[in-house]
Amino acid sequence: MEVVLCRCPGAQENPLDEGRLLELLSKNKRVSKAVVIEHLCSAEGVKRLTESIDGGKDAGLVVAACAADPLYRLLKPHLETLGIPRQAFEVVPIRDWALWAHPGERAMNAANDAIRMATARVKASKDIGQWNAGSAYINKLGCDKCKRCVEECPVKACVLDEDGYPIVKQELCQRCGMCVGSCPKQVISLPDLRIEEISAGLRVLKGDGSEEPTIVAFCCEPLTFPALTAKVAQGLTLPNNLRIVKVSCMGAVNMALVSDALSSGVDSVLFFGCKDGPCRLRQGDELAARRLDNLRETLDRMMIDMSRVRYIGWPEAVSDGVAVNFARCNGCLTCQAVCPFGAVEAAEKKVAGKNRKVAERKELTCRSCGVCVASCPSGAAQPIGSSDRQLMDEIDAACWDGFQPVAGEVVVLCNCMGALNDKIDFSHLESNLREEGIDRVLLSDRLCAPEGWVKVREALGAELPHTMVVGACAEEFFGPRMRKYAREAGLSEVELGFTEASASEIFSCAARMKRAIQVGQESGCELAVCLAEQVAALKLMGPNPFRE
Amino acid sequence: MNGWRPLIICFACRHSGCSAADLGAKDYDVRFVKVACAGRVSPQFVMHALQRGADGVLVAGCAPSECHFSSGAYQARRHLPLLQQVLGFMGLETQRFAIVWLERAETNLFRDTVQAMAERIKLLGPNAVLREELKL
Amino acid sequence: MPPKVLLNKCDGCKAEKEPLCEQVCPGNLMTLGEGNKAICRDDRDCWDCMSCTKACPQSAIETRVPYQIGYHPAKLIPMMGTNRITWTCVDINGKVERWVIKTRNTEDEDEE
Repeated sequence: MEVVLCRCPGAQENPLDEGRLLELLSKNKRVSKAVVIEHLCSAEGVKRLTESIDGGKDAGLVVAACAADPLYRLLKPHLETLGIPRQAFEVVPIRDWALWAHPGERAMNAANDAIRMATARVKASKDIGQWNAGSAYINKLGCDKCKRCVEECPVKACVLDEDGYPIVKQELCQRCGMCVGSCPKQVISLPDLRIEEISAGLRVLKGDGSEEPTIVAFCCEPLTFPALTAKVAQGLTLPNNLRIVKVSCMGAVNMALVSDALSSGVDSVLFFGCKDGPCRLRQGDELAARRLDNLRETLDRMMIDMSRVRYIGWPEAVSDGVAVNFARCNGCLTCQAVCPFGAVEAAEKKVAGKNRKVAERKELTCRSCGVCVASCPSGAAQPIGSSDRQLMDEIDAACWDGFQPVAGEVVVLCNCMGALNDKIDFSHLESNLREEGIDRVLLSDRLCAPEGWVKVREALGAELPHTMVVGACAEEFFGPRMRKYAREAGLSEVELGFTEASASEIFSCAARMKRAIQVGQESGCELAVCLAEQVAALKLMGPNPFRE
Repeated sequence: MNGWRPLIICFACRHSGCSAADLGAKDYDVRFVKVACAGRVSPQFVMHALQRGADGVLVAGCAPSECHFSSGAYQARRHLPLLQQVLGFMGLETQRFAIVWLERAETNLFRDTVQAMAERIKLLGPNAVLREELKL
Repeated sequence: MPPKVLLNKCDGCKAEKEPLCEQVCPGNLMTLGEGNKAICRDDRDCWDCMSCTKACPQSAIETRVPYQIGYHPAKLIPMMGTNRITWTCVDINGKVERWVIKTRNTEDEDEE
């Protein structure tokens, strides 16, 4: 298969040594070709990619670049023309997982390991063949009808057929992966979470022979993977030999995978999942904790230290909950009928001296989806931080053809090294903004590089604004980087809001930011402390007994 | 029609992955109001947008098996088609309100839906039925 | 010697008609007993094949090592992986040995 390293045209401080990485990749037997392509996230970069990839019988592609998800979405439509099957394509975010998380010398090993894991997964995916299943797939040959998948499916998409074998109802399956984690014979997989692939990826990790313990961390897609990425972008460094595996939910991790990792020589396996029940995929954390307890008991009997395998909970700060105005609630409990998570319970509250039946929200279970709010006939339920009134204001802001004056605002516009000059008339935009009361509009050539932000900081002078709206390109691509450079340039106290460079977008963004500031930030997770403790404990325990 | 660009307000679910970046250069104006889930969008918001002068409203949610909140999209499917019928009954051209359900990263469908909608609205002209005069 | 069922871990395969240990036992010895927990019907007929130990999803079964080989303090415990089983053997003196046995023909990953 082919490995493509993206060379970012932006000035990176101490970028990875491409030559050395290519050398390490040349030793990898699975890799037929490793190339460096400039600026993959641009149209020319994609063109260069399509020209350099050969495809063919052994087609497989691993792209090592900055952000995984946006690049994946960008390149996915081209897979067919490249002749690469969907499941033989992976994007490895080595910027986040190697360059930023492991500063200095260690970044090279981290990058090489991440790419090796991806190549092992792609190779395994070719061995087991491509699937076109849309949802969970059960291999009946290995199934022994224990029915655990049927029991643990949170949406009851898994049912039994006449012979007693489980089948998955495609239209109900949420692709959460609980069934994958539950199967004692490992015969269930999801199209993008195939057990053979993950196992192959884990088995390449054998540690580098140093004293630093090799740790595998499973991160869940909705919460801990983006949260950990964000923390790394903000400066968190990870222990030397910590490697990340992304899964859909902690409940999707089969214990056999943990066993594979340990028997390969990995010193510790960590589960980064949600804490105290707010699992967005329902009960995933509970299932994972239960299975882990079982496994730990077995490890104990096997004379392997139990604390090699741990569940680390990440407190979720996102869900603010739904507030209920009991004076307006008429106790109809329509909210209870529509709530996907069972977060509503009937309660008796004293309102104006009389006891009334009202609907209360269970704080820890409520995910702030807002479905109960839309169904409430009396408007008693309102999500905290995005009430109906606030949403109406946003609609007003979006519909207004005149602009709302905002005082003391600063707007920074980026013209992407001049590339946007023929698409956006910047001087016209600037005069529009000034007319409406924005007193400072700064124009930068390059906000995705540290120098751009240093210049912005200089231009701002002594008076730093509280908030700043940044009109630039896609936040998913460069958001973490822009925030990092802004922070390094001395703008960490300033709240940044990102939007596309058009005047109306800028204004609605500024309005939204003001509201967002009122809601708290910071999840307060002592993740760094937790990781440091685990590494210290592992060093005391000694290496995994399976390593020679 | 002397420089009139249709204004389309799109209530986009945060998890459906659509954004202005998917649309590229265009001769219509699409503005996004992001919500946690399509199920959050109640008819009052659609009405409010139309009253404030939007020429079209689009609700973009996720395919039912992909709803991040498991049945939020399904609840939206219950509220919103009924609204479509009511708006028709009220005399609003039905092409002005559309609902699209997207699978993960299905940007082509989103772009095509918006483009088709904008073409139809251009033929219909600005929203005259529901627009309120803004008292400023 | 009969397999020992760890009652705190066994969940009776959620009281299904045939728990996994019962399905797999070649001698038809495992079944659900009191409190819906697994139990070996006839001690003397067990020939220590350890199929039940390997099949149990909760790892709730432990084989007692026979007296002649090791008896009480000795243990032989399998840990099931996707294509391998990791065995741990503890002898009566407490010495621990481990080995990994492949159970599938997946290609060995030696990439270097």
